[in-house]
Amino acid sequence: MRHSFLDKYSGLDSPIHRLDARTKILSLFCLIVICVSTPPQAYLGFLGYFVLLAVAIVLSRVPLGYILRRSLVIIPFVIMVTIFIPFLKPNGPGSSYSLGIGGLQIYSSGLMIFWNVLVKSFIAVLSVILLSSTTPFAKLLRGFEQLKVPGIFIMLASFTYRYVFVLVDEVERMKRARDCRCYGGKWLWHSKVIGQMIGTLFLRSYQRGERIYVAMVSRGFDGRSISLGQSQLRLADYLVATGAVSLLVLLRVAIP
Amino acid sequence: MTVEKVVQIDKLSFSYPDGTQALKDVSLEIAQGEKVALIGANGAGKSTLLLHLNGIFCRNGRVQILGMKLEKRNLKFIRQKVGLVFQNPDDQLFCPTVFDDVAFGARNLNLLEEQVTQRVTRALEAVGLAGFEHHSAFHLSFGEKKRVSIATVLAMDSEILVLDEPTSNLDPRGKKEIVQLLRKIDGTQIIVTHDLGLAKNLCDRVVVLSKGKKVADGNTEEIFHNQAFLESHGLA
Repeated sequence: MRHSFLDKYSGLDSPIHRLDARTKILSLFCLIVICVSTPPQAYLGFLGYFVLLAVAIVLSRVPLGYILRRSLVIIPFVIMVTIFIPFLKPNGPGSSYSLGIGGLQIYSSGLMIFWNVLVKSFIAVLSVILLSSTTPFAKLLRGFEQLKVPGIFIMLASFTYRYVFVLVDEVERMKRARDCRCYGGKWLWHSKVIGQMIGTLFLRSYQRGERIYVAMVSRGFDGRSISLGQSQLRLADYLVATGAVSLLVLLRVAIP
Repeated sequence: MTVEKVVQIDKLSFSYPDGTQALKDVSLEIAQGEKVALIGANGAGKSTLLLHLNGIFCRNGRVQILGMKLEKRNLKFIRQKVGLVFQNPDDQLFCPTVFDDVAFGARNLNLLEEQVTQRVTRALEAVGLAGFEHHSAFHLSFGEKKRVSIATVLAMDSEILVLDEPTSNLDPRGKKEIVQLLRKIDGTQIIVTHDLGLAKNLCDRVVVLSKGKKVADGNTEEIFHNQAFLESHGLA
């Protein structure tokens, strides 16, 4: 079975794809930090961040529709958490708008918090999607490794990425085997079978983990983390990284 | 003694923590350059024996590899010399790219990055997968995964190749490719298999395990000729 749901489009060729992973990690991380530190009233600032991101997205040739669809996976959760904030009465004085139904009121301070959380998380999510859809996962890991992220995290992420596909396949096969034997019926029975499947999956993964460890030890693994090799920064990387960071800092400083 | 013994096992016994006796007094000597098939029914102890060959199990110092006792202090050396290829390529290949997987063993030998790259290129060429460096393991076909698994130990320059069921789950063409590949590779090979055709094709010598004991050791044709014997050990 073929899967590509994590870093789809990362195999394209574009100026953004050709940048070193470190450049992209650094620039986008900087964007997220600066965006989070911006006060919610600085509308122009957010517009600036959006424009920067949009330029990068256009340059990367990743379909805009794909990026927006991906962001829909996260944004509803953000809305779910924050949707009630505008209805909460603030401690201090503040303007409010009556909705006219059952005395419900919306407070402008709450509305500001809602906007604040929404816009910042949206920008952060867009950045992460841009990063993952312009960088193959292996290069991303190597970038993090070269940025001195502790090896254990790199290994964890690498194994997760490698085996999530194996597990998905395994679940698919189990489901198929189950359905082939006329599975169906009442909910209670349903839940029992699903529980058993989860248990089986856990045991299989556990045993697989042991086999993988044996395969690693046989090839001389001694507990040090896996090194994924080096990549070279080019002039373009330095230019883009300095350009992006200074532009962001400028935006942040210029707009109060 | 003119031919050097690369594997010497002297009366090896092993039981698992739950009490299952997997090996009983197994002795085995393998000379340099031999290609030996290790066959036996399910649960005969083949895999247990295999895990002793590079010290995943090493309890009683009864195994010698290249004249070195299988002990903790020799493990690093022995693991470089004995390349184990496991049955399921999804266990063997655990890195994000084919390159990293093949490089894994070589990098653990503390080689320079250029040497690692050289070895990876060479190993992938040897298994006929040059140019696959940047593929992900899960994008390969099963046969390709099997061949990458073999490349992962070729990159370590192992002298003794130990393969667990190299042809299981492969289609006839895939099997043929593996046989041709293994024939091309020099050096000692120990092949654990149920595939009698593979054993016949590749190995002059066969060792038969049954219920943890060695029940036959000798010329492939002679052993395979004895139908009654094979049947009594669940092999025909």
